[in-house]
Amino acid sequence: MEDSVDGTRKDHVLDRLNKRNKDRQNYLDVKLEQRSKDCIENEGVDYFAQTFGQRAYDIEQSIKSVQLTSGGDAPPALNQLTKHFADITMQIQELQNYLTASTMFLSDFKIKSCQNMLNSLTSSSDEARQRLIPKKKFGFSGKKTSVNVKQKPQLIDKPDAMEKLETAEKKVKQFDWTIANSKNRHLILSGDDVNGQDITISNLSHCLIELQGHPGSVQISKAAHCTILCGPISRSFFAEHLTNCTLAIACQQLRLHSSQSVCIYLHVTCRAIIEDSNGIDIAEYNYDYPELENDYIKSGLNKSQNNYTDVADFNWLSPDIPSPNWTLLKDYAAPNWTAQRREFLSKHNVNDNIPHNDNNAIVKDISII
Amino acid sequence: MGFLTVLKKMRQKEKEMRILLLGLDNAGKTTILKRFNGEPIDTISPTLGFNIKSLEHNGYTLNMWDVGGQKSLRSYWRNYFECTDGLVWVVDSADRMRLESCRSELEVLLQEERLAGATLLVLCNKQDLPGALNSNEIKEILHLDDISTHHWLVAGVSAVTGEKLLSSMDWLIDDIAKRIFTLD
Repeated sequence: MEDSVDGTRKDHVLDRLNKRNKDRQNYLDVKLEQRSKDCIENEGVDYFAQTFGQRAYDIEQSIKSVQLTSGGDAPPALNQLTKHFADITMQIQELQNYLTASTMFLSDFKIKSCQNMLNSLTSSSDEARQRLIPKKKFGFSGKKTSVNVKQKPQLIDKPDAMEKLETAEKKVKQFDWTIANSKNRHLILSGDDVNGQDITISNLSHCLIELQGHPGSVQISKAAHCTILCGPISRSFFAEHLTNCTLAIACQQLRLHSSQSVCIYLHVTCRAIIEDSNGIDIAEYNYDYPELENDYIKSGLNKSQNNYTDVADFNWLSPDIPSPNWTLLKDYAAPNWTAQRREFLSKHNVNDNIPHNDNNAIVKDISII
Repeated sequence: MGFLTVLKKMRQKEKEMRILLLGLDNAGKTTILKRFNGEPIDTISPTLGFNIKSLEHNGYTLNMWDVGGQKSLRSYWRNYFECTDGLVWVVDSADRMRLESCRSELEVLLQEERLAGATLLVLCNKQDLPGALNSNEIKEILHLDDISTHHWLVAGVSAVTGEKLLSSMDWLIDDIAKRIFTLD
């Protein structure tokens, strides 16, 4: 009897000991594995840093060598250069792939610094390319030269190819601005010149422009020291390169690009956005002319919905801190446009006698107003 | 590669396509997306970031990615290139001022390695506007005939009236389906 009791107790103890031993061993195994893993990772990081550095250096050297060879007396042929740059771009892309594949075991800082290196490589290669292979100019010169090179076979194959190209070219060149290249002028457009039209305005300085009607859309490119007053626009208002301008705009969407010091009296039913702009003041729309109410109805804009306080700045994507590039005017005296018009006219009186017939816009004589 | 193969197989089973909508700002990408999805289009603001819509069409699940076209967002376009089956390039046909930059942006896109397999659909939007150029004129200005690397189609559409929008999208989907799902 006693023996069997002893036996079971002994078994118990042995079991327990065995179990404890096993646990301990498992624990050790896990630890060991962890350590070796860390080790491999470290090796990976080192290896990565070395390879990455080497490859980045190689690319840098090849960019430099291109610059050196082309600086010499006999610059290499254009197609050779193009090929060389294509190679460099490929290498940079491969390196980018390598970095992306390795992000698993790299620290944030390392990834960021490597990415910066890649970016600077890309930009220096681009810069060199731009310098050595002159970029195609605006228009279709690039296309044209390629056509000219292959002129003979092309002309035989399809004689209308050149013609077609030219018509396409003309299409763009023929494009007429509604108002362009004016200085010190007061222009009023109204009625059918505005209603439902796409108004395009370019290259103005010191002008007072009034669009009394409901245009479909308005685009402005390059204006300085101008005041532009406009009735309700059915769709979008797009402006770029404005400096020191005052606008009164009612529209569905407003987009303002690359502009400085612009004051906008705004009614926008969707949203206004600015990009690459600063010193933008926003206030509520207050332009007025006899047909305004009617034009609102015809343009389809909802007069009661005005989101002028909510301007999105594409260069400022932090939601918590307001963008420094634009401010909402508060406690300002609403501008009196009639007074401003009068002031403008007295200031630019001399220029009003110049005949206004050098563009398609119908220009009302100042004396009518 | 193993994981990618698994993903591809899963996509085949579900008949899923990834379609990327790109173009300059104010071209009407979001409007086209909403129109296609049957949502109201009168309250669209400029896209800050991107919109994704998954929708069923002709038995396929379309994942449509609409990325904002502002200058400052264009550098982020490349983050969306991976696994794209179809690229829809939206052009504002009335915006003659910027057709040249539209051309150069498209040219850059087509050189992108990760878009090499994608089908290209050029939508000349805003055909309802009186000043709009037609699709032939846009084809010439954008030098579309020079494209030999992608399957492409150019179509004049209007997101506002819905003109030709469905038929050109159907072409895109058909072309992609022929390419990816022929193995079934």
